[in-house]
Amino acid sequence: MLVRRGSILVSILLLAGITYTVSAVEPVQILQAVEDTLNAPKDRELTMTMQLIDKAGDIKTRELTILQKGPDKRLIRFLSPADVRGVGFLVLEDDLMYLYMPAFAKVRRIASHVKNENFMGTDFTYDDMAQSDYIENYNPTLREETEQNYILELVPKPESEIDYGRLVMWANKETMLPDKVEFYTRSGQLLKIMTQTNAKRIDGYLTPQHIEMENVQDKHKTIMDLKNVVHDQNIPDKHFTQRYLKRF
Amino acid sequence: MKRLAAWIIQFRLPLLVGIVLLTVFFAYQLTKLKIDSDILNYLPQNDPVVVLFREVGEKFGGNSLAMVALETDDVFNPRTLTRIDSITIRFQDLPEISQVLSLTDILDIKKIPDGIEVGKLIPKGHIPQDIEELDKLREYTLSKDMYSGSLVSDDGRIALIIARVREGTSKTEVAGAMKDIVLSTEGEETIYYAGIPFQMVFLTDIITSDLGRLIPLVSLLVVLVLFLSFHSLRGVFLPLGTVLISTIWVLGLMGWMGIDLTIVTAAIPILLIAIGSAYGIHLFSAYLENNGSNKDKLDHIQQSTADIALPIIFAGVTTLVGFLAFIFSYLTMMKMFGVFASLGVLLAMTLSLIFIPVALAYLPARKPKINAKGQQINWVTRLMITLANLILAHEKLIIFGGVLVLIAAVFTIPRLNREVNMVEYFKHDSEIRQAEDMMEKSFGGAIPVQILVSGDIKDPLILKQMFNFEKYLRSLPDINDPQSVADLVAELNEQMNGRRTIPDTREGVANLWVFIEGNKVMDQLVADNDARAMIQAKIGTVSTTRIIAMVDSINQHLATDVPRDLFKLELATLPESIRSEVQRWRINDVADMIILDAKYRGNGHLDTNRVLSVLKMVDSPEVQQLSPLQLKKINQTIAAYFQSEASDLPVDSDFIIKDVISGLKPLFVDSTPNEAGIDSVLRQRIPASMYADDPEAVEYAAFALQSILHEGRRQAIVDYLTHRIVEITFDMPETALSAFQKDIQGDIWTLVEDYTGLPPDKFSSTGAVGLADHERVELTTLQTGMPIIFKNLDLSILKSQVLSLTVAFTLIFLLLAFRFRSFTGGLIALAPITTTILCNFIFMSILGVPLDTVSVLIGSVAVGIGIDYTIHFLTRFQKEFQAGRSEQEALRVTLETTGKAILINAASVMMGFLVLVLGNIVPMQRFGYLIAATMVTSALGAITLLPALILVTKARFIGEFDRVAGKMMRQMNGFKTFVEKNHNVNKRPIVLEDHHENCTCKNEERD
Repeated sequence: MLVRRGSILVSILLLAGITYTVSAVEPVQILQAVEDTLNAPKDRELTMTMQLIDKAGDIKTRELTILQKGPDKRLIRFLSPADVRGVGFLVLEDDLMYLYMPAFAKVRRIASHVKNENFMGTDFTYDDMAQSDYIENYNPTLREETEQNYILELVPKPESEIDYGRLVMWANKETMLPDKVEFYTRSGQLLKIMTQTNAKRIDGYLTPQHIEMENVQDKHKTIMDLKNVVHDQNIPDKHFTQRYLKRF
Repeated sequence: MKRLAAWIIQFRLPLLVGIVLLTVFFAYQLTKLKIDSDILNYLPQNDPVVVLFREVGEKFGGNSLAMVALETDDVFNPRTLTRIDSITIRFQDLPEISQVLSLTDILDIKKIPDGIEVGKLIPKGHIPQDIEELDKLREYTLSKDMYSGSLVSDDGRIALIIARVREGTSKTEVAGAMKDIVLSTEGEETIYYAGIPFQMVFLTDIITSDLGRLIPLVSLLVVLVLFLSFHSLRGVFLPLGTVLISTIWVLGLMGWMGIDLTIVTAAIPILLIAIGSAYGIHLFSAYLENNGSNKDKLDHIQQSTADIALPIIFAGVTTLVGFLAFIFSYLTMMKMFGVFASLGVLLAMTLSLIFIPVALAYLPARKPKINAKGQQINWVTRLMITLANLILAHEKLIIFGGVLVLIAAVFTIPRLNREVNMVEYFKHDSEIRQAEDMMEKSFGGAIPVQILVSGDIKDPLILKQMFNFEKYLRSLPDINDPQSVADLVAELNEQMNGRRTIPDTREGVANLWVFIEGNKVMDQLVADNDARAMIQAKIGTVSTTRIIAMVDSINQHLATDVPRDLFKLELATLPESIRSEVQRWRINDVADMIILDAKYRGNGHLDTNRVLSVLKMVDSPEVQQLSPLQLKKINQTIAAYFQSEASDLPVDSDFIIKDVISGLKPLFVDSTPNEAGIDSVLRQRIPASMYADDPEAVEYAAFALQSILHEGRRQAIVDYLTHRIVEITFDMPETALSAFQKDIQGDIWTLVEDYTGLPPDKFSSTGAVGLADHERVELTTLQTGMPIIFKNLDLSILKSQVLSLTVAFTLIFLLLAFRFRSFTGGLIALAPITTTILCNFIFMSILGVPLDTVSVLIGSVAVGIGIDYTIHFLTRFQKEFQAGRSEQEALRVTLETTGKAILINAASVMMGFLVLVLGNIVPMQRFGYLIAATMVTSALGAITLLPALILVTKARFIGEFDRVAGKMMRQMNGFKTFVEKNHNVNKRPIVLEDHHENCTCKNEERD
């Protein structure tokens, strides 16, 4: 259902881009289209390598899988390096997360109220990880339209608990995926830049193969390269339980 | 000299134009002059200790913490918390600041039944308003080590905001911006600013304001002295102008070359004005004395200049040599002082010889004035006559006095204090000092001691060494709050697994590490892809002596007690004989840790032997066989496992659970069962229908249960031993007991761990060396941080002191020996100044003035200036004596003329230096009065000790003491001298002695 609505919207918008002037496109519609594209698959299983690069240029490489189903079920598991193999995070609702540590054969509940902390050494915050709910959290305005992109400015809604001052998003007209997002602090300084490139259509879904997030203030960078992705496998709900968190 | 004088007069116009142009140029360059208050820049940048300190600073952000403290009756009130919050938020907005920690922005990790809760101590935008909530917050915050004594003082009166300034940004600018932010917020709290960035701001301010105040003051003083001496405008402005011009040139040159003023070089202008005016005075008074003749104005100037040039150059060179001695110093700032202070003296001297004659050439000639100072000088003259009689009567007593000084010096010099801590440079009531005192009192200090650890930091053996090293650190008296990643791992292990210790496997460490990876605090604790880590602790003292003692004992401990290699062994795989040896070693090691913990927590008298006897029970059947109570606890854990959501094989029947437990019990009552054994119990006792849909469930459950049993058994044993240790711990304060218990529980865990790391000596002595497979872990430790810099600084000050005095004395000895054409003469001439230097050290010792970066200068400066008095005195005495007077008469004449001049000269230099006492930098104040004191002693030495020595030794360089001719000759010579005197009046090196001519005549007549 979601899928179809998303793609229809995309095509309408694409048509609109050709036929009408900029002002005719509602920024909310563009953002909705982006969100729909991002949330299109029912479930998704990704394998990726992740590189954490610090300001000295030192690189840490990790390999992990992510299982995702709907907005509220996500399981992240380390495959390498060897000493963290099997360490898993089960992220359920907002504040509820479980951590499995194979070295102690233990699942521990992590009740986190802090969303703007970086997730396990990456440049993504817990908020960034669950970033697909743009419409709920931001008011978009269209800043500029280029040949390839709609450049949207997203300002957090007053009631949202977003910690950024604003985002600037380069939404690709063709893929309706963000090519680039700039994250600004509340005082207006550029904090981070995310770029997504090399989007491929896999199982009918456009999926960026290379994602970079750079914290320009700390000069720290996270690079994710997708190795494998499978969509819509109908992953059962029981895979998102503490019991399955322990299995790898 | 004549040619020089002629040359000056001939080229007076280009010289004047040149001086004016250069002055304008350098005055413009003055605008570029900056103050460098970064103490690190004062050191040679290629020193390995400095290189390491900088590298570590860049990697770990160690030397860039700026702290703001707010003090009020109780910081847990809505207004103060709101103020803290708004300052925190605005600090975070500064791009130069990478991280801000405060009560309103700090991660708070709490243990909850099956995990942890991560939140902010005060959630964003939710500052508690009602009293109940505030009380709860206060109680919770003050109960946690992480906050109490770190972000808020133990009494809840002072809250701290800690900001980390990014490397490569101007610390003073950021600190300035931070101060502005704080000042723009409203509140009644007392504010403190601490940390190196703020110290730099204060130091810059204080140097600037001191310069602004003291330069006019010392100039005014010089004006006064000049006016009293000459009673004329040109007499005031020509010498003053000379020193001001040379000061402008020197400082302008520094500005032009981009050399910043430091706490030491900032003294140069005041120094130059105080001592440099003497050259102008000499020249001007020579000009005045000759003014009687009816020569052409230019001839007259030329003549006076030619006459006085050599004495001026000699006085200048000796002073210059004193300063130049510092170019051999280790410290960059002292080298710079040596270079520019001696350059300044050179300029003041040269300009006196050029600028004053040239200026006089353009001024209208003046009629000589009858000097009105006769009255004033008379009492000095009388004093001198009395003094001369005293010396003649008691020359041996005077020498005995000198010997007494020598003896006193032998006893007092070794007791000299040393001080290198920058904080000590400020007055006790200064803002910066109060902030540092507050930090020391309420937060355990502001300066960190740092130990850099290199190796595979994620290796449990290395982390364990770090953790244990911190236990040692915190047991030291002047060290507070050691911190490292090992702490974080142990803390997390406690929250996740209930024991405050380092996990014994690499996986264990890595699993916990995932959780703290990327946390901002990690930037300060690990670097280089986890190949280097930092252990930091706060130093609770500013005393250099104590800091150095601490540096040494830490280095000692690192060298002897922290192994560089560790051999990793798995105990289960060892032959029994080796295993028991290894365990014996572990027991000793753990006992040491427990003793350290007891010492830290408030009981230094836990008996080691009793601790050992408790720990030795660990492998005994009595301890290995679990008691019913211990078994019950494990049973409960097993039951909880089957019922939890995380269970691999959920069992909802109590009956089945009980059945499984009773099946497992025989397996774990005296040892840990293996997975296979557990697996078969599970398959026997749990109906297959319960895992039909998930056949793997049993294996997973067996794995989980094995881990639960292994851990449960170990926990039971550790708890038992912990309890026994607590039983033999006496006098532990009630409040510290639970923390102590946690500490030793972590220590004792080591005894039940599967893996251990042996240092090389134990590795061979236990016989483990013969084992085929073992892994070796290497680590190196290196102390860095401010304390070790202090130590180096201190050493280098000592070295500088010895070297600069040696150089100054040697050069001046050579000059003197050359001047008087006598080796003995050189030695005797050094006596007054040697006594002066010794007296200075005695004063320092008595007054408790430490040897620091400024007081180290006193010796050479005093030698350079004070030696002039000796030269003046000797020259005159020699002259009088060689003119045929008896030594007694020569002494009288010399004292009444040159002696008087020496006192006046010394008094004016002394006044100049005393102005420094009005400054705000403590070492500069001390420098001021100590130099003033050396002026007194060196002048007195020159007019008492020196003649006494000559009278006693009858040194030949003065002349022939055993003259045969006796009185006849003497009278003849006396007559000859009288005639010579009146014809060669210009050849005197001493110029302040306006009336000596008259005096000589009077004496002559009296004779």
